Amino acid sequence: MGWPLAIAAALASYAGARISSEAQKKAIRERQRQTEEGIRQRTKKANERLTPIFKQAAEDVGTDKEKKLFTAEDAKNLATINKTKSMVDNRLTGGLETGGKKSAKFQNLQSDRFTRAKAGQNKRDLALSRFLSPSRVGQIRGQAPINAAFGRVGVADELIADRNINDMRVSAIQPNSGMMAFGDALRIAGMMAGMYNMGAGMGAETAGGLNAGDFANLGNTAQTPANFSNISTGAGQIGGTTAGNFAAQTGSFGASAVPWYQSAWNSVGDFFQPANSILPVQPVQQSHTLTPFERAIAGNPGNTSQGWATNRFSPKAWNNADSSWFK
Amino acid sequence: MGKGGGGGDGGAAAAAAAEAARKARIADNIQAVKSQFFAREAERDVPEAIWGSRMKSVYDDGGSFIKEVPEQYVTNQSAIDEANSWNKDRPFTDAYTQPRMTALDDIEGRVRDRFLPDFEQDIGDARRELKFALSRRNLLGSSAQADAEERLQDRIGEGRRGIDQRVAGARSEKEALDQQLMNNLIGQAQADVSRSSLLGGIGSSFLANTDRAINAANQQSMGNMFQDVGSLFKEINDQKAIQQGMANAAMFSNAMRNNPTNLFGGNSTSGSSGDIVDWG
Repeated sequence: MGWPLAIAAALASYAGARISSEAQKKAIRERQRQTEEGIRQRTKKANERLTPIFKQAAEDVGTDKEKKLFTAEDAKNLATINKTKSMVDNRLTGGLETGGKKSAKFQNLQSDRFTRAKAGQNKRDLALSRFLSPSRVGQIRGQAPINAAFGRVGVADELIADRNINDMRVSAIQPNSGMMAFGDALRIAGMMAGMYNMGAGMGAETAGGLNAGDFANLGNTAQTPANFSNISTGAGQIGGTTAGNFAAQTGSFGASAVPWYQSAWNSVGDFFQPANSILPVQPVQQSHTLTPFERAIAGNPGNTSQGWATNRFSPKAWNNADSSWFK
Repeated sequence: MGKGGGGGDGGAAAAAAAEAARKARIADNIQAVKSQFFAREAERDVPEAIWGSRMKSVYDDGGSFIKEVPEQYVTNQSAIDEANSWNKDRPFTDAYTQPRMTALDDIEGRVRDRFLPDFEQDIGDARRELKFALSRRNLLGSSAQADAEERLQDRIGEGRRGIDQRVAGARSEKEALDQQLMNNLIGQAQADVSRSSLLGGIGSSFLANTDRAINAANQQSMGNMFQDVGSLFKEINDQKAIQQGMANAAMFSNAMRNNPTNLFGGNSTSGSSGDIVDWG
């Protein structure tokens, strides 16, 4: 594979990262847009709601409203005064009951004085009605800022709630999950391919006899025997095995007491650790029941409990080997 | 949910619905509170439906014109809708509700009833005293009587205005207390307090305000304004001045006789005694 695979892997990684990045950028832009939209809406709402509140407050404390309030309060007080006046017994507010004959001059004088007194009373009543008004008008005008404060508090409450709701909307904006997954998958695939390619290259340099293609087919069980044909010598193949090849193999078995294929696998395992290994890792053991194949290699097919130290090969047994040997 | 995808809206929709419900609840509660204090505008008459006929175009499912058919319709539907909408949510006025008006009238009546009987009693006594005073001086039917009666009227008016001031003060106090109550309730309504809590005790609160207003008026006692009714007419005042001058002259001559060298010395008997000698 080599460079073409490396370039393809790099492109895949870049494309995957770019897709993920774009999805995230899009989400960030959407969050910014939603945040700005929220601010715009709240500002608009504040203007629309607060303007009439302050306008009303200004009207309530304005001179026009003040005059109306005074007029209304004066009238109310005057009505109260007149009602009290009407309730006082008329006999008590008339002239003195002195009996006897009264001269016309006296009666004229008395009537004149009563008229004058009544006019004076009316003026004083009116003055009192006006005198009593400012207190109550002050209370009513004092309500204007309270109403404005209520309005402001109400609007502020709503704006805070709107902001919280918008914040929830903003926080709910996430990158498109499909695009993110696709980008991640592409990036991971590219990365894996790149690592594989790198591993293949490194393996070829360190083992001397390994080819990149050998590793490429590790995942294929059917090809395994052929792939490992060159592990030690690069000569024969297991499918057409010569006695010499296996003799060389058994040497390594005897030395390390580890199956040859496990040893080969371990060198690759530095780069790949698939979850379901196609090559089962067997425990290292000093002795075990020999398989027919091992017995043939060991030159003692009848012995089923020999150790791995035996390094003899029986051509006769090998020639008679059947498929059960390789199971 | 934003365009960026990513499932769900973080509960924003549910929060928005809850906020809308909260706003509606608060608005309704504030309206309910205000309706206890201020009268609404008068209802509008909903006009009778006036039916008319017109041609209506009929289209098929694809939107193609088929034909025109006559139909009956209400020609003044907008006026009906407007009146119904107005009546459904009539705006508040500055006028108080009828129960509050009744309560304010009741307060005024109670304060008047508290002070008027005593006041009328005082007027009656004053009239009698004045009459006797005039009679003793043989001034009945004179200009002095006319003058004294005018002064008495002024004094009666002054006393009546004293009562008016208490009546109006009690009413204003009740209005102010009710206003405080309304502000308090609106504040609670804005804090989303339940309507039952808001309005459950409003009746007793109104009554407590009435009680406080009346008590405040009652604490301002009225004295008898007619204590000096015997001196209400000019002649008596003139005579009083003459009598005072004569008394001073007598004292002066007495002092001269007893101690001529110490005419202006500190003497406890010097100066006016303030007593009025009734020469009549």
